Amino acid sequence: MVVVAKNLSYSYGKTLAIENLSFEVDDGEVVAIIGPNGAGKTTLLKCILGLLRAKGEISVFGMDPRKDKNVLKIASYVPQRSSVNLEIPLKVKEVLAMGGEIKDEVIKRLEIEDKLDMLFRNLSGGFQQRILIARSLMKDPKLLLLDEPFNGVDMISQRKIVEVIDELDCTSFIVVHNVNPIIKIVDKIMLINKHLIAFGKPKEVFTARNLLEAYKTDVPLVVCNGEAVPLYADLH
Amino acid sequence: MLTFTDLISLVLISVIVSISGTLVVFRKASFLVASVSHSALAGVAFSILLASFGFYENHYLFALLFAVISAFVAVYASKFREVDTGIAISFALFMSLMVIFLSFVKNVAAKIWTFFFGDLLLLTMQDLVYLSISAAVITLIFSISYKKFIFFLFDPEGAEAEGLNVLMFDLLLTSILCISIVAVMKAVGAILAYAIFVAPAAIAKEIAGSSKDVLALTFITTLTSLLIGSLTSFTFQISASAVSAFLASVAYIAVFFAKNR
Repeated sequence: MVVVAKNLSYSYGKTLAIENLSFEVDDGEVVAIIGPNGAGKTTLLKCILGLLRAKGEISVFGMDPRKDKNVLKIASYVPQRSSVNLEIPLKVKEVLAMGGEIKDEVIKRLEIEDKLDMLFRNLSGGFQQRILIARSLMKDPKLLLLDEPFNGVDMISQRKIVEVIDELDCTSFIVVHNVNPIIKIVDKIMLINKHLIAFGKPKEVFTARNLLEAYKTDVPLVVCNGEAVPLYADLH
Repeated sequence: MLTFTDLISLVLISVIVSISGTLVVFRKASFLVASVSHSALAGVAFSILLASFGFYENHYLFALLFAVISAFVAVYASKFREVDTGIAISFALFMSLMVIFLSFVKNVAAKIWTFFFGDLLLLTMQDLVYLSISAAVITLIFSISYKKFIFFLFDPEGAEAEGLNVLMFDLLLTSILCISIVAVMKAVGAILAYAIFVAPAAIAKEIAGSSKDVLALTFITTLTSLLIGSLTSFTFQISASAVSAFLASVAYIAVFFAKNR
């Protein structure tokens, strides 16, 4: 097991964000973290990285991220695209260089070769997300944490991102609202709403009861390729 | 005509403003300039008050001290609330302190007017020395940490996840701003500092093709505004800093409308 959490809790002042989360993730697994807004998904990612000092036990590749900053050397984090400051006129290659030495292989894999000299802020949401993911892959991480990588991203870029994550040889945590784009590549789903509601294979997690407990409303389930998945689009 | 010393001063001010103005505009905290410059005035007022009791009068020292305290209060508060709330509270606190200090020394309170409006052409050798040291320190820190500053400003969460101490960089940025404002306050004035620091960088940000271009354009715009302001001052006997600030502000409005029409 490369990521192990036991009774992990974190509060912002008096506001509880996550409570008693316990889970184990094996090397190379892709885990989707889902739950309603304010469920503590982003907080959990930051606790795994040690950016927030959670209570309880947490081990990442045998290190306690709260004490050992070497976790940050093997982990890459892609924040929500909305947190990036588009006021700064940065070229794509400048953004990529923030992740370390630029690797042609990563650029080719994400199909961004022709974007290198363009301004990041002038690109579409899909390509901005590809660039941020490419940046995170420059250091060849063993652990990848993605926070809502499909928000405002078109289907072409979604597919490309999913394809790239699938080909990676690393453990991944992906926060999503809509699990459908990655359902084929996830090994486990973590359904949370401050506390852990369900953790396991998609068919174990996606039950009407679990989704009702998490979202406090009925979430329609549809069967796709033999798997029941929440019908996210139905909520719009 | 402008003396060689005047020209050196204008170039040094432009260097300082191009770095600090760019940083503060990228940080999306333009109002921090207004807060810090007015807090620095409280420091000058405190220095005047101390001098009335026979202490050595050092405006720069206390202006810097008060500016740093005010800015750190604002930055710290912004961790918990919106940054403008912290800035507003800090602004109000230090402006009220300034009025309180000056009410004890009404007979010499007029000294502070120099710092309110400034005068580009009345800088002393001590002012020039302070400008030179400030420009050197700021340029050195910025050159060494340029890439880290840009990473932190572009993507603070991503930068933190890469091991960058973002709070330290925020405080460093704030310290650079404080040093800058105090250094140029006597030249451009606390009230007009806002326009001189924000407008040129805001113009550059709109039209530049890279972050380095923003710095270069900010430098050119600032120096041009200051030069025209100073030359106008000789001809028409009006405040050089006011004309410079006016030009920089009008240029921003023109660029904004040209780009968004």
